Amino acid sequence: MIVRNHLPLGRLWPQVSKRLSLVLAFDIAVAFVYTYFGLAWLSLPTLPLSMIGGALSVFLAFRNNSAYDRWWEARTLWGSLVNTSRTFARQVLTLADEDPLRERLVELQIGYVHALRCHLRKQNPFPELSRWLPPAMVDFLRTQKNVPAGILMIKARTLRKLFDTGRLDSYRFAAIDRSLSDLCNVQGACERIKNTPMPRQYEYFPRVLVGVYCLLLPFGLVEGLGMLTPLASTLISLIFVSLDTIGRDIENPFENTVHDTPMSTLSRAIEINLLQSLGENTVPAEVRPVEGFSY
Amino acid sequence: MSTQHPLDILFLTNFSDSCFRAVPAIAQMADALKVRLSILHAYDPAHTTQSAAQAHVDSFFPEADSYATCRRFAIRRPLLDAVRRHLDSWPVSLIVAPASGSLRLPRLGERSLRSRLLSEYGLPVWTMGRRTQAAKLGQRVENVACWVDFRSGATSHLPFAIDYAHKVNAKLHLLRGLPDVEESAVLLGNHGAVEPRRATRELLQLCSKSPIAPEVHIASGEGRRELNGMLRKCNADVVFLHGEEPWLTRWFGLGAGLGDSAFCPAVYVKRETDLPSWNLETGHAQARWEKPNVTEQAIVATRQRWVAELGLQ
Repeated sequence: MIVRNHLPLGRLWPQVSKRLSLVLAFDIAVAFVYTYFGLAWLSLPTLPLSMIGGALSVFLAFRNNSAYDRWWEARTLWGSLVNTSRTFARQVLTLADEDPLRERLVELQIGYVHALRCHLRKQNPFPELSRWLPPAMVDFLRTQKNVPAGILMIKARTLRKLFDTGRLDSYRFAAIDRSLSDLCNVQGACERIKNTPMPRQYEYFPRVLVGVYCLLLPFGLVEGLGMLTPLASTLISLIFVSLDTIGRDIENPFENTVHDTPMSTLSRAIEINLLQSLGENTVPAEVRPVEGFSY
Repeated sequence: MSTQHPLDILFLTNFSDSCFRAVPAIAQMADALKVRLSILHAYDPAHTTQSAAQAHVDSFFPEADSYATCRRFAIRRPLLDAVRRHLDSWPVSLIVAPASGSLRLPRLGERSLRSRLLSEYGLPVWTMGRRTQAAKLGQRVENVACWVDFRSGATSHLPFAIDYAHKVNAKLHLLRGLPDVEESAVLLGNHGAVEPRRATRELLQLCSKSPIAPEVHIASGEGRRELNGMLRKCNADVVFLHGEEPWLTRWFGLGAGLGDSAFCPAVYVKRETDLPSWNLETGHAQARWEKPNVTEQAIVATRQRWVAELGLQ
């Protein structure tokens, strides 16, 4: 997630350089041919181009709104994960009678959060899980296709153990189990965003239409601007290319890119909160944005 | 006494997108092998302070703090001097240097930092380019490829590929591109090696003492297209290349090296590298330092709690 106010050019340029370079070269060629070879038939009336530009803007806006909705939903889900993790830890530590399993459940929750982050980023979670869970449990989780779901099942069984040993009554058991269901719902929603891409039509047609519009644009401007056409045309093309690029960048918020939901930061925050709820004095440091980017 | 060694990794970072993209690959290595990780950032004192740079390094790849051994350093530039100072104290067996974010502009006179690392320190360099697929970085390594160049015949990287494939329990694929034989061609050296079956036999002879049986892939042509074709054919997850790059791509920075154009990460090994500590140790990242650090003590404490309270081993 970008948290700095100003984006350096070195970050922006590679995103749009290839398309803009091609557009600029094409614009220069059109302006040169029109001006020095006098091919007046190259110019197009501006009215159709204006209408195409307007319709394309609406299309891009609709697509970018959908992309933003996915990005924001991902952030909301992880905010919900933070809340539910704290709620779960609080419930386990206060509602269950004194038992070492309470602390183990909180540690399992920390492991669950890290596992979910790795699951969404398609990253191996086991070097981290070895920190929180015993080898036998890690070995069991290696057999699971869905590691966070496996941890949820372990938590549920551990909770059941508390209930069977009389550390929890049925009402409190049900209340804590609802937190497990909330975690499962958050995970399911994150997986839905991860595994369901934007409809391909929203990916393909904007790109094609923006390309076609950028190619037609210099023909509409060359009669009025002459050799200044590349400047104006490239600038207008930059706007449309940027709109297209922005939508594509944010539509997938779990891809380990700079546009991601800041899962590493949030995971660490959850870890710190839960360790402190256990009464730990030594907790890891918060994860700060690195050069204006939060991962 | 075991002669196997943990994989000491030095991860160089300038906090570019590529460095963050490389994190899943390091996590995968940390699971398959015993890894000791050092993260190093060379900062410019004209633009930032040591404490600010150290804070950035501490926030980069934060999950590595949960690995058994992870150290973080912020050292003054230039980068090569910073690496040298670090290596004087902490020898490593692999440098991880993802390609930095490119401006996609010609860089006249610019020499690749990775080729300089290879030349100066002779250590294997793991890298990835723009074309490296994200899916390849996080998944388990099941196919290790090793490109044996026909012209140079360099094979110093082959033992590294063999050991790596053996220790991560992956298949080993030997790749060789043969030059096209035309009427006007002048072949220097062993003309018979152009024949595919003989080339296959030669490659298999190189691996006669290998603990794993490699698959050999031969293609006609020696360029990037042939390399990528063979990598796709064997579904390679990492490719080992010898560290010689064509002069043109190094000095002008216009083209991509073989490793940069591959769709999987590449490990460059310099021709004269002789690294006895590259007899890798398998297992989780639980190597012991001289003094146990906080994380290792926490792991031991966690285990003891689980064993005592749940009866789990």
